[in-house]
Amino acid sequence: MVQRHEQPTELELLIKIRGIKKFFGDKAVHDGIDLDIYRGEVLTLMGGSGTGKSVLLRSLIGLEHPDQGSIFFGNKDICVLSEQQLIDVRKRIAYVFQYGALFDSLTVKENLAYPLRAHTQLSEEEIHHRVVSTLSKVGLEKSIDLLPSDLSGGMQRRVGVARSIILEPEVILYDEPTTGLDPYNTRQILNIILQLKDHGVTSVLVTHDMHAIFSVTDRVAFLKDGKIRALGTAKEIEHMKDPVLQGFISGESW
Amino acid sequence: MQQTKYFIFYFFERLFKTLWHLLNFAGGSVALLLNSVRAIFTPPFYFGLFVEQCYKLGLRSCSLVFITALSTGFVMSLQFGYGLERFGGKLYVPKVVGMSIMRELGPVLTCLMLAGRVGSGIAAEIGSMNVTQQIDAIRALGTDPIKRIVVPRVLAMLLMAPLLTVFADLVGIGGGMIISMSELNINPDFYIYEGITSLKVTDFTFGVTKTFLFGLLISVTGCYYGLRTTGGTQGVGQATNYAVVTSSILIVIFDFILTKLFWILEKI
Repeated sequence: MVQRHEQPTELELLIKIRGIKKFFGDKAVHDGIDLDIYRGEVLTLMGGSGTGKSVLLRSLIGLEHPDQGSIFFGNKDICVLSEQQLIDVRKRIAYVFQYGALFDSLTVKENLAYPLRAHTQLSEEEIHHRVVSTLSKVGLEKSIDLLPSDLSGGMQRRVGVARSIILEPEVILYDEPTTGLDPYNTRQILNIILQLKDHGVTSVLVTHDMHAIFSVTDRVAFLKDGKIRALGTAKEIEHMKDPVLQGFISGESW
Repeated sequence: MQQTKYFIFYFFERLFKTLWHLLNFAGGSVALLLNSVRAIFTPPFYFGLFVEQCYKLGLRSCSLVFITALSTGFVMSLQFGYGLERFGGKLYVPKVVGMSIMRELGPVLTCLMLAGRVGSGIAAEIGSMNVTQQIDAIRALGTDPIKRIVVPRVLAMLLMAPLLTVFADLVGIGGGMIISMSELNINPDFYIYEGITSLKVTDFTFGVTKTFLFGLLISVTGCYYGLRTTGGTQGVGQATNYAVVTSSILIVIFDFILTKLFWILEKI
């Protein structure tokens, strides 16, 4: 059973999103999004397919660039940074891809060692210890020498999470972390999110998994028609009387 | 009348799309090349990745280049041998084979083979990485895909295309000698002597110089289409196809331009 923790009482603003607009052709995926993300919270972006949840998540790390608006991380506007300047941001904000996005020509160990070799001066021995210790957090230390193709989908996601947390980032962005996973792997990933929260790590999730949303999330933002239609704690969202929101939660409409 | 209108509309639509595609390719590949040049001179440097690509793209193409060059040498020797025999010019075979392989067939056929093997491989590999979000993962992990993916391949091709061409030149001329010996009854000592004395250093250098550009064209085109891949496995197939066709056409076009240029330079 996933243990849900209480929302932190003292809130420190970490990411400030203001007036984000993003167009794909004529379609406005984001039409003026304002959102604050606080240190140590678990925030879920919820909404139907094509509402721009993943685009918003990608924008938080500079993988997508909004057409208008700003995303402040500290005093830096991510939207105007160059790829070179984004490197510093990406050391502090990690991204967990939907299917892990592991480098398929590298072993699990090499995948985890990749960011360490790129951004630290650790010796090979230190890297090995760090890799083993991080893999043990996701329960996959025995898979260290396997290739991604030898792992199940759930294991690949857990390795993806391990690779993301190995640099000890302040924020982790999860794109559909539990979609399509069996209950065991789902629970493992949700437990990792909660353990990281205990260490003050901020998590932003994009998911359709209602169980995940209501078991680990502090706040939920519901996206509809390019805007945030509802924002509140998981409990508040559950009891809001907005028929569109309730239709989405109950699965009757979106 | 309606059909004619439809045909004209279709023709101009295709023409516009092709021109648009060409402009996109020209702009995108030049931008990619400039970014790669900038990345080559800024740390960190990934020497290990460069060596790995030299092995994958270069050394593993040796057998393909060997077979192509050997067959070319055989064919050239046979064609010129029997062709020139009619005019009593069989003894010119070493000169003609040596010069045509050094100046033209060695560089062009080697690089066309590389466009097929290496260009397609680069586009398919990078394209697959793109559609499985591995390129995004490289960026998200705070590293530069140009530095890690493009630069090692471009540098490896800049080194390996000329080396493989030298190898192809030797094999091709050797192949010509085998046929001259066995089919045309030309003495091998005569073949080697004639080959060495009639060839000029510029025949060799101009042939090899072309391959630096060809290597660049193959690698940049493959990387460009790989990095632009969208649409899953179908997109990977399309990127591979575009990479091979585009780099092959570019090799043929630039071969003519460079050949003309080199002859002008030689006459000065």
